[in-house]
Amino acid sequence: MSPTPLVLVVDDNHLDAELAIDALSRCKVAHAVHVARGGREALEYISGCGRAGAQTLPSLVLLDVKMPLLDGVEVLRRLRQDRRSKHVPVVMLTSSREERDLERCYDAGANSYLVKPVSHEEFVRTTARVLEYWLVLNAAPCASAAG
Amino acid sequence: MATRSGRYAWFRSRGQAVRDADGRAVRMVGALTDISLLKENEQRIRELNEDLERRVEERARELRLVNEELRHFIHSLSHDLRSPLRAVSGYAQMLASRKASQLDDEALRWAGHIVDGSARMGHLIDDLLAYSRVGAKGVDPRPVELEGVVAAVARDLAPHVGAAGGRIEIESPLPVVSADPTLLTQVFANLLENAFHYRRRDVPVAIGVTCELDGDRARVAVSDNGIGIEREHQERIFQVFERLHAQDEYPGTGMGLAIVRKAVHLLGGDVTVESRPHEGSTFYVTLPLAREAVLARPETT
Repeated sequence: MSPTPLVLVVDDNHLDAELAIDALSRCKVAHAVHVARGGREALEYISGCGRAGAQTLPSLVLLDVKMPLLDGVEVLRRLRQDRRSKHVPVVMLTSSREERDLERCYDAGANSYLVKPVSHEEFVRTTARVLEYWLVLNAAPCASAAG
Repeated sequence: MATRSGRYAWFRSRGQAVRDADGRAVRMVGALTDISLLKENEQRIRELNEDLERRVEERARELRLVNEELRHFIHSLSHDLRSPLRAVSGYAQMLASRKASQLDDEALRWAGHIVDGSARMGHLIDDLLAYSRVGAKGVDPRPVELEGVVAAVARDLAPHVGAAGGRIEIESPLPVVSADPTLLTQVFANLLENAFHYRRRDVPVAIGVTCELDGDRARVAVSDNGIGIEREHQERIFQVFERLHAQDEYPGTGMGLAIVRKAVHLLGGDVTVESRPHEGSTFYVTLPLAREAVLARPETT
């Protein structure tokens, strides 16, 4: 039985996190979801990966940019320094359309960037495309062999 | 020179030598004028001027700071407003789609209103942000071929205009103007989109772009055969969030022409409108010609 790819959602705002979970639950691509409420929790989750019998390394991270304490870009930087999460695709979620913020994300090693639309239906459609892209079309070799 | 009271003062001395019959100077006749006051005043004026310049410079710096602060404020405001708005819209949408069976018709309609309202607010926030961003990265005027810019904008719009049975005609050649290409594109994208958006339903839409040269300026006209604008509203339409129509009649946020005016002013030009209701509108954009274009212009007009 091959493991289902895992999507790690990192968002401190529980209303937003729940919307993301809803959007993910409506995607056709099979996957599991883990939610980290903030940057610290996300990094703790990753550091728990890799040991025998430990939790699954995510195949995709949806990372909110604007979070208190440890903001998304800083979390991303640390994910890129960790050999376990170095190559995991990270899609940044934000409500900002400023080019400066976008550049900051790419400089820190983001794979993609998603401006959260006001309309949830639109968000559901976009999320479906993101999953299709990262979990099917561009799945890492191990993940595609597994899925 | 020291005066009797012991103070030193400025004097202007004017004199003439008085000569004898042989032309030898025997004495001087002249006047000494105390010009201390004049000198003091000159000095004071110089100081006042320097002070004024310094204050103007200080004020300009303050204004630049306030401007930058305001832009940051609008940016974070729009960012922070969007997040709760997503929750309002998102959960109302979920209610309307996923719990539809548990809601009666009225509740469903109300949920729909929440979704529509938040979508509109989302557009307002986006456009507010777009307006604050016009020219925020600085204006970089250089020679730009107007024709290329207008043609690119028209190309994007052509499928919609074609589907509505209309046409866009662009005069050729159009001059080379001195402008920032990004701002210039914004100006004509908004004007052409408006010309299409506010079309009459009873005639095929016809949009035209023509240009006249006036000294070192180009006067570009974007005309349409659309619904037109009443005279009393012709100034209002350039203001932020000003709209003349109901949302379900002609949707929009009322930001397009405010963006046009801001961009044109940043380019050192101006925009005006001539219009008659039910006949159409013509927007005139004056822009500085590129230096080369002025020089290369034939003598005849």
